[in-house]
Parts: sequence; structure tokens; C-alpha cells
Amino acid sequence: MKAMKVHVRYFASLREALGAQQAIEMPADSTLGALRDALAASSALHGELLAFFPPVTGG
Amino acid sequence: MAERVSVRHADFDLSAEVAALRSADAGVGAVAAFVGTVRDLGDGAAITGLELEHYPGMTEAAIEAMIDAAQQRFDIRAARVVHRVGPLRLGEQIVLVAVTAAHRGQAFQACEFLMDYLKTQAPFWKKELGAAGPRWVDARSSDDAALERWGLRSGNAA
Repeated sequence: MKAMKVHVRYFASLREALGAQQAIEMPADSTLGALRDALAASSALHGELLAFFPPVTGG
Repeated sequence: MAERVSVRHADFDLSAEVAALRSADAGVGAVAAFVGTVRDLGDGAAITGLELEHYPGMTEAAIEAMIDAAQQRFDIRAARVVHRVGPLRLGEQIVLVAVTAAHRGQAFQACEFLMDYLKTQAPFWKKELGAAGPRWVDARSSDDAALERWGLRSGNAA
């Protein structure tokens, strides 16, 4: 199956915990849920941190 | 059309922003403006300043969509949002929301709607700086409740 490289960006507290971004290879027809599961399983991540955006606090 | 959204490090001049917003529009009979500033107390602790982070491109697009929503919901002439990012000292200006309309009621409501929307939907993140060290600000359920008054569910702080 054809693969695609997904670039994931992190912000604020997640950026400090995980780095600004990472790239992960996924099957071309992957769902967002599958990406989340792949990130959770990645050794570069701590499985409890799955959100890409923390709640926003501007203004 | 004048630029409606500016996300930047530089400070803003309220008078100049309002003057630009109402210039060349004789239909303006009311201007409502909100300015948020850095105060000295965070979540129960003294702070010395803030750092604001955003998602370049996404943040501006989100605010543009908010202004579109305000223009559909209220009878307003124009709106302008300026939001600063980066390090900010106590007392500095953080955000400006300014709205023009023919009458005050729509201007007041649209200004409050935009701030309530921005607080829960625009990708900005605040970090408080203080004696205890830096701390990312938690989202507040009261801000979600403020948006729900307009019939919009947020869940940002959930």
C-alpha cells in the first residue's frame, strides 16, 4: 500500500514536552484515529500525550 | 478592504486603529473597542509578565472566520483584531478588538462576541512568568460558558 509522510506540529506545553514537530510514515488511506494510535505507540512519544493542541488561552 | 487581522510582536495604538477602522465610512455611528492588558496576578500568584505563542497562519485564519461569523450575526460595518505574541511585560497591551456599526447595541454585542470567540477558539497559548517559574495558563470553563451565551458550544476547557 502506498505510504505518506505526515508532519505533526506541536505547540505550547506539548511543544516543550515533545519537540516542535515530527514526521511519521502512514499508509495513504490512514484515518486521524490511526495517526493518533501510531503516535501513541511511537517510542519518541510518551503515550499519555496525544493531543496536538493544548486548550487555547489567548486574549 | 483594509486588513482585518494582525498577529504580531509590535504594540498597537488604539486611537490610530479606531481612526483607520472608521475612516471613509460615513455610515459609522458607533465604535466599540476592547483592549486586554497584562495584569500582575495570574492564577492566584503574582506574575512578572507573559509569553504568548500562536500557530502562524492558522491563528489568522481562525480570527478571519470569527469576523465573518460576527458579520453574519450582527449588523456591523467593520471589525479589526490585533493580537500580540512573544514576551510581554506587566501593563502592556495584549489584544484589541474593535467594531464599527451604525448603532451602539450591535457594536457592543459584536465586540463581546468576538472576544468570547477568540478566548476559546483562536490558537494562542499564554505562559505566565513569575517567581515560581514559568507556567502555561489553563483554559477556563468560564470562557466556554461565555461563548455558550451566544449559542455556540466550545469545550475548550473540558
